[in-house]
Amino acid sequence: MLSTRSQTIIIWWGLAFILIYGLTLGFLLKMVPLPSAHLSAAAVAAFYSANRFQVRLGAVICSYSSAFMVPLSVVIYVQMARLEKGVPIWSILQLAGGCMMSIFLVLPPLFWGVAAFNPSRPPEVTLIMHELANLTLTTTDQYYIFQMVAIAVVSLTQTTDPHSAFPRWMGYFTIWAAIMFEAGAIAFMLKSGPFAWNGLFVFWSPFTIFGAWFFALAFTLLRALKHQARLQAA
Amino acid sequence: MHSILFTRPTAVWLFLLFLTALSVALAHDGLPELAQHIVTISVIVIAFLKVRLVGLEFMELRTAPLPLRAVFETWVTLVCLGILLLYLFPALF
Amino acid sequence: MQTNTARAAPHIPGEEGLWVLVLGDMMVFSLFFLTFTYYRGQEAALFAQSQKAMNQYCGIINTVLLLTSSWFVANALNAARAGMGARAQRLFSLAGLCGLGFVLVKIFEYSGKFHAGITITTNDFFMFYFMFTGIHLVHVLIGLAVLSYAHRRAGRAVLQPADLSALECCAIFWHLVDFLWIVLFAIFYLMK
Repeated sequence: MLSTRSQTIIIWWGLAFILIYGLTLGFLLKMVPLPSAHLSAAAVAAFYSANRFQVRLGAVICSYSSAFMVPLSVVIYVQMARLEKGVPIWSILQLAGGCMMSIFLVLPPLFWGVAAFNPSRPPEVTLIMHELANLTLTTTDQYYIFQMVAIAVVSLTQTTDPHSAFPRWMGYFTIWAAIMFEAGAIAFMLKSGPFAWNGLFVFWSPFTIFGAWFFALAFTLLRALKHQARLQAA
Repeated sequence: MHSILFTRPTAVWLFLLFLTALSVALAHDGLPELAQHIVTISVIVIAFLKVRLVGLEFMELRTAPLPLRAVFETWVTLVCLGILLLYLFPALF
Repeated sequence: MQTNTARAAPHIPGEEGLWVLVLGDMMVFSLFFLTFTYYRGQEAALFAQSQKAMNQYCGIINTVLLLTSSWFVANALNAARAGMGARAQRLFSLAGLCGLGFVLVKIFEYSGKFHAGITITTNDFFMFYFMFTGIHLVHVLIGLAVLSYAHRRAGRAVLQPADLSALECCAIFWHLVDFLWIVLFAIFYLMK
């Protein structure tokens, strides 16, 4: 009984933090969308000195909130493991993927904070930190794949439990989201157009789809937990 | 073998091949502007006719519940019109 | 008699959840098509010039391969429904062979471009060409895995309704891959 309650609380924790993260990214760090990849070192350095306070405050807030994938991944693990028989290998893969992927959401605000930390250094040094932050945000697809494939497999194969948090449509949704994330890594290759780090297919569509996927998962998890709590109470 | 060859999917497949051949035959460049536009409009419209055929016949949306079929047909129509609009009036955007 | 009435009633092809993936993919690809056409309108001369480097034969062969594989898949599904699992398996294999042919032609085409010094960074036309056909190629590879699953599933001694539903899902995904290519072919190879 306690477990479903704890899981529910943990999901709301994750939801609150992703919201704070998104708002901070947009309003304090001013990285929605990311600035053009063609900006000169001087222009980038000027951005950080003009927004020095906001960017550092944003980095502080994100230091608390950016690990929101960890709580969600843990609840997903618990919910997946109750469906799997024997060693819950897909659940473990999902947990590993989810926690590792969390790192790449933590790093960009850290790097932006470092970029804004010291306005007296040469602009080129700030530029490389800025570029590292932006490319970390957009090109890091490697761990999503494992988390998403694991969720898709369990959604599509473990279908006997009526109170599963992973309906079949969630499996298909996850496959679609995973395919659409792939475009992100191409930001290494192109500086302008829809495949640059601020473009439609590297920035807007992956982050919209990621948000939609995160909230949809939180919704199915909360719904399943409600059913499970009712069952336990009965 | 007869049951494979003389079926509805076979007729659809042959028609799709015909449409492909037609659009390739049409697709020439270096024509006067008006003719060029007509050629490209035809090529795009034929492509979406093919999409619609694959959807309705092969994906069996013809016998699907109306809302699903309507979503598909709307997509085909809107995307086709959108492409034609962007092609014909690039200065508008 | 029973099959007739079952067919007359509206039937969701595959299963409801699958359409989240299919419609989602259609949405993203429609953005691809419209983005391409928009950029084409802005850089008409460059796009027309770049298109001359396209190998139209590769495009035509691949279109025919996918249309034919879709035909095989449609027939495979009908065979499975008629209880002819072995025939369905053969047809799924043939469809898979066509899909494999598509991949080979694509590899040939890409390597031709690389040898000519054309890459994703050459210009906007080839950026779109490599990205969109590349993402589509990923769909084809997933589709090949789906077809081999369908092949195995059709091999069960007695095909239950659940098996048929799974086969329908596989077929729908493959047809999706097919019709997305139809539009890619039109805009990259034929649109002048």
